[in-house]
Amino acid sequence: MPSQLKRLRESLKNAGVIGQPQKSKKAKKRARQNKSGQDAKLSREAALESIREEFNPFEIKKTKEKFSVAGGRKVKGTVGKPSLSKQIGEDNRRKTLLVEMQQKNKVGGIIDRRFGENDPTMAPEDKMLERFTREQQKRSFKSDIFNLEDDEEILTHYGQSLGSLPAEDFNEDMGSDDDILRPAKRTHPLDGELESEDEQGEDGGPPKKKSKAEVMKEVIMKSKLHKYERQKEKEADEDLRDELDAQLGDIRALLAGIPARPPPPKPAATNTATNGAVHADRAAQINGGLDVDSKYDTSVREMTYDRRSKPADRTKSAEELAEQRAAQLEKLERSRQKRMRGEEESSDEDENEEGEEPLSDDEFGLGKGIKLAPDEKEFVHGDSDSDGNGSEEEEDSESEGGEEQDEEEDDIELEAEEPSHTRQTRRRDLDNDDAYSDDYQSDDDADAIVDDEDAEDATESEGDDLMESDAEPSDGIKDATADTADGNTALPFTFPCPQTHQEFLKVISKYKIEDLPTIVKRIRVLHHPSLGPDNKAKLSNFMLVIFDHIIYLADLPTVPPMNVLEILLRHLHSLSKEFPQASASRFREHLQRLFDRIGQRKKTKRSDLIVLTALSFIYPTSDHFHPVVTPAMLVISRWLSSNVPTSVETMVQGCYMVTLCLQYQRLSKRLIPEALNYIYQSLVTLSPTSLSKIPGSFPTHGIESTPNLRISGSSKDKFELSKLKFRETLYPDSIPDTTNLKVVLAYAFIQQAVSFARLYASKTAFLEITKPASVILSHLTSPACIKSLPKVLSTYIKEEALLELDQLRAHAQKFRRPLELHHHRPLPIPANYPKFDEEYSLDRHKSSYDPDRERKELSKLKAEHKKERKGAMRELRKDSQFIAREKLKERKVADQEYHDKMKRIVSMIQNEEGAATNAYERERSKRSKK
Amino acid sequence: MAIPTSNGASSSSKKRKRVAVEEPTRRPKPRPKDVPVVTKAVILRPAPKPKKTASSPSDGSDDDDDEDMESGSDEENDIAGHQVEMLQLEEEIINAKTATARTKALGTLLKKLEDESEEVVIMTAVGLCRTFCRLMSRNQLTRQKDHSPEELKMVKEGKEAYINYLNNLGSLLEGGEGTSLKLAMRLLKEESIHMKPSEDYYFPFLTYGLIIKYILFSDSSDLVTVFATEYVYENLDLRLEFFKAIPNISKDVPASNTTFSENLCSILYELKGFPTTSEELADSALYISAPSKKKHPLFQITTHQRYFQETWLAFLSRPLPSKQRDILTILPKRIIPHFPNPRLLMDYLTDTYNTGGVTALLALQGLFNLMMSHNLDYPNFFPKLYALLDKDLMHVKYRSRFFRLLELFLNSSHLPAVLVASFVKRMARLCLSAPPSAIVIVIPFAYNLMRLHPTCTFMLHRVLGKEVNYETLRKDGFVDPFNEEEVDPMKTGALDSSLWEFETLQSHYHPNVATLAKILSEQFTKQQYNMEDFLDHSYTSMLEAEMEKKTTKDPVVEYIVPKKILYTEDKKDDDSQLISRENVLLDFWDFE
Repeated sequence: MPSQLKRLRESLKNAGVIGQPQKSKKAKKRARQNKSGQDAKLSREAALESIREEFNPFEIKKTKEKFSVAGGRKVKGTVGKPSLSKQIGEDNRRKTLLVEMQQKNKVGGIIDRRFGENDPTMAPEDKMLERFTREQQKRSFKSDIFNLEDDEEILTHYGQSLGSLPAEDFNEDMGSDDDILRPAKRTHPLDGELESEDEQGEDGGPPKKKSKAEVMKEVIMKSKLHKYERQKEKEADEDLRDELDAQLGDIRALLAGIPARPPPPKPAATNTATNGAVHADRAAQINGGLDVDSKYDTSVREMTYDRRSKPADRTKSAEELAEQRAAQLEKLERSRQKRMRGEEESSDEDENEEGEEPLSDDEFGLGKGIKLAPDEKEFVHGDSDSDGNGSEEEEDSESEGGEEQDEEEDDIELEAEEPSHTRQTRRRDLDNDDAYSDDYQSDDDADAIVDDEDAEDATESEGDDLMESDAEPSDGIKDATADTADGNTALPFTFPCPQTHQEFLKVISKYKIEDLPTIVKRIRVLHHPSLGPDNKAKLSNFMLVIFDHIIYLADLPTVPPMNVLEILLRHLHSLSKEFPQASASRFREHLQRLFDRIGQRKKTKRSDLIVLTALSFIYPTSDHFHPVVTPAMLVISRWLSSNVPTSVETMVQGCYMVTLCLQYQRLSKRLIPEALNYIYQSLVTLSPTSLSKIPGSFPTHGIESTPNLRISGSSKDKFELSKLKFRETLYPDSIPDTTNLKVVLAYAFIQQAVSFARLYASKTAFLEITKPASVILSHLTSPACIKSLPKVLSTYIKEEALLELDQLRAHAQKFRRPLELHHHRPLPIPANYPKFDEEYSLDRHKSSYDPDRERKELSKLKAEHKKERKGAMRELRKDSQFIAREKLKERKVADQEYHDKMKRIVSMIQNEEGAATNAYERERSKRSKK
Repeated sequence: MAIPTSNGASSSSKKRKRVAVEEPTRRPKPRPKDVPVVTKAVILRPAPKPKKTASSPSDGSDDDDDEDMESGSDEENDIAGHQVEMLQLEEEIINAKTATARTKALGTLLKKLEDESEEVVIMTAVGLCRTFCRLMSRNQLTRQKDHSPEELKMVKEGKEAYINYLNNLGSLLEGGEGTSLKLAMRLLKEESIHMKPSEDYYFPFLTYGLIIKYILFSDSSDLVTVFATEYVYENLDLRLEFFKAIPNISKDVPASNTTFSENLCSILYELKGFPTTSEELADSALYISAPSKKKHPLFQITTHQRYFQETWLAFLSRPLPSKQRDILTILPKRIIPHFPNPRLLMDYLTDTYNTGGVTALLALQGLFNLMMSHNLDYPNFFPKLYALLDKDLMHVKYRSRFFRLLELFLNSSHLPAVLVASFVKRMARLCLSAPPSAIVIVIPFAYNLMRLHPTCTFMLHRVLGKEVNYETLRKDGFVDPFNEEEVDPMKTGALDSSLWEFETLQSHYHPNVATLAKILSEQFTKQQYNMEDFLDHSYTSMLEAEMEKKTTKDPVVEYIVPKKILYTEDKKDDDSQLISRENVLLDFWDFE
């Protein structure tokens, strides 16, 4: 450490107070130029002052540390300059607080903005001089403005004469006369020579020799020229437009002549119709008529509202269609598989977004612009592949257009009816096939899947769905076409949309049950969501009505025509697609009721079976979880486990339930222990002789004592293996002879056992699952049993069922391996090293090492708040001290003044008194002398 | 039967307390004949007039009788005549000076008890009851020192008639007659007051025993319930004496008498709130006046417990298959704690346990109690436990109870892994035909067991080593070493097998079960599953859980509307092949 003296010297040198700093001459010169003598002097003093303070040991206050801490901890505030900081604070207060104090209770005041007033570097003489020159200058400008004698002076604005400026601008600037009092630095167009000179310099164009007047003249000339040119151009344009107007008729005729793109009907019609008239109008215009323009305008406006013609989709070839369809199906299948595995649906939805799947939204959402009524779409669609019957359809379209305006319900119904009719006839023409309707349907399906990109086609497919249902081959159902063709108008075309089942029953009570599909179809067409805002809600209710009606039909004591039921089911399906929430909740409600009925040991109705069947088609039963299917599975399995086969009737129902299980799991192949149990239980019950030992682990409670259910025929009985007949077995009045039914049941159960075996062939516990089946089947083929079984059945068991089962079992045994489920990576052992912070510092507050982030933030905030609060309090205290001090000072001054004044007055009085006394004395002595 | 006689001089001198009779509010019979309320006033009436005796204001029965008479026809006159006659006879009996007169009058009355008319019988029974009460209060049924020989003879014959009467009452009871019960209990009370041999406390146990016996033989379950609810459960002394009486009675009744056993069972089964401390006993109601001694055995819990135990043992020794499950369910909670020596139940429990099935399942808990707290050593416990895992187990409603216990038994980590493996494997087998609610119990249980016995995880993961002949493996596959038929869990070979069943359950139709089954193929990171969360599921609870799920998303609907649902398609085209959703329904059903 250098000595105090050396350091002083060093700092003096740095400040440039002593010594000769090594500087170039130029730099010195510049420095000299920059600094006037005064400045240099000032800065030197300031530098000296700072150095003085720096070296004043009395200014510095140190606090001795009592214990030094290892690790070099920094402690704040050990060294400080209290007087200096106090001084700084004092100065600041003087600048702010004192001023405020003095200004207190005072309103207004004059701010001294005189030139150089706040510049301490200026000497008073300089100030005076500067002020004087400014004043002189201002005075001289003033005289210029009002000097009207001078002709050559023209008022300008940014170099332009005021005459050429727009009137408004000019007006605005008129009030600016008083601006003279503004500070001189403000640039203003009227400010005189300096500015105008600058502008000329900026222009740079004309040489300086030209006078201002010349320049102005030039400018005016130029602008006049421009104006003239513009006028000329305008006139030429107008001429051209007139000419064009005259020729418009011809051009239009040309446009109309193009055959490839038919013009939108309306304007075309009006235009062609008035083709000749246009010329007449034109002539009238020439003669001074006015009406034409407005006519023209209206027609133009109309044209803007016309539909813009779109390029029609290219007709796709059969291969392309098939390909597209395959792709679509593949996509559907992929999403189904994903759901089956129980993966997240979100990815599915992504797929949906990119694909064209989300029909359900577009199908009835009316979001995409103005929608057309289905008939019109039909037309448009037909138009694109128009070949032979194009003209016919055009006619149709025209008439439809007219009808559409009428907007009568009947017409809508007709329209909905007719296009389908024409299409069908056309189709029939195309392929003279008896099963045309089938083909037709499949096509429509393809349409439905492929074309649903845009909303229009979505509704079209919807319409096709509807049509599908009436295009059934069955005789009663083909009626829609037949009816209209034959002119048979027994069925009205309009029906109200029934909102409750009672209403519906009332509606259909007059008609034959075979007409039901037509009625339903007509209701659906008539209340298509695109035809009215509240149709959506109506249809949704109507779907529930259909649901109720299906139940109603199924529970009727007489057998309803199954094809009608089927069509209703399909209607239910397509409506469910539109209203998935409503239909799902209805299904769930029904399931809950069925479940409760099972709990109360009430009879299962046919409608329950039908509803469960419908469910298997309407909902994807392979899903890992599905809000409708999962409860349905639970209901079925509860039924199977709580209804032990103790009578033929329950066995038939049970057989149906087991079939449903197979149907539900046909794709996902999930294990249903209850179904297997039921099959085994039934087979054990049905077997002609009892088994010596019942295999497997299915419960046998309640089936031991039912000897009357055993098949007791003989091998010579004539018997034909057949399916169970729904209408015979499930309608109680017509239960056929039970022996036969029992054999049929046994056959069905054996088949189901084999089907389940096929389904579960890949399961690891396949052997355990199918062991009872194998034992029971071999029991059935034992000599004791064979005696009482029909020959056909026993041969079936021996040669088909048992054979297949044994094959499957042998295969499973061959590929059976021990489980290896735990090929996991070994779990890492959690290691807990002590945490070591390299950056640890004593200076940081301990709370800053808090691992809890939020707590850390909070404590930081608290500390800051505390600090701020303390600081504010200190400041306030010091402020008040300062104020008190200042007030005292003021008082003292005031007091001093007062005292001085009193003193002065007193002395003055005393003087006067003394003088008077003297005078008196003198006078007295004078008198006494006298 | 002999009523104990003594000279009992003190009893006569002693001032008799007035017995406040509370009329039972419930009447056992639809047409009640009120028990004549024998108040002091009636008994002590010096010269009762023939007709007015019955129509004293305190006697409610009179009104009833009047009503009957008004509504009836000829028979009523008959009955009225009977009544008059009966009252006269009653007076005769009471005022009789000679033994023969009294015996004769009593004989006629007793004979009337065999009358065909029910009303007459009941009226007579009531009258006789009244008569005997009066006789008792006049000490004419007990031998006194100051009795003359004639009087002694009267006492002797009176007693005989009394016993005769009691037996008649008993046969009425057996027939299920409600009034007779009240009469019998009434007599019981009077007897306890007036026939005290010497001490201050006397319970007429012989009469009581007679009553109990006849009640238990009766066919009317109503009577039994009334007897149980109004007398036995309510009154401490009646209960104790009931317990005392049962072992003796039961000894004489042949085991084949099911009526007796069932009646006894219904009384014992409904007996709740048996006291556990002597303090509780002190607060209980008594039927007859309490003994003055505080330390009387009546107030000792040990006495009660001893006779309780004896009664139960006597009862359990009688075969009663229909009620066995009920008894076993209440055994651990309501019976064993009150036994001074529960080990005596051991035989019973072992026998029931050996029967197997659900009964064994229920006996298990009692047995477990004995093993835990009473040092019962039970050989072959685990093989028997293993045998309980039969095909019905998963389907019975007691399943959760069993699994709770099974968890306790298998919870020890000191059990051999072979044994545990057998249990796990067996449970897995049963799961293949179990309802989802049972599977849901087994899977976490198996998980917990495998955590405890890591050796068992070989059943989930086994990489075959060199010891295997790969040639045969390729040809025949892996033969399951598990022997299903083996009864000894130590020899089943389950440990060398694999739990394919659980793996298969991963594709169970119920999504929750399937997901739960997947925990077995995940890494075993969880320490234990709390079994209580899984034990009490059922189809109902599972469906409820499904129904409560609120889905915001639209449920997925099958996109393609099938062309045919209930019919086969006529023509196969490309599309149907692409769709490839075969309609299984049509393979089995014909909807035409």
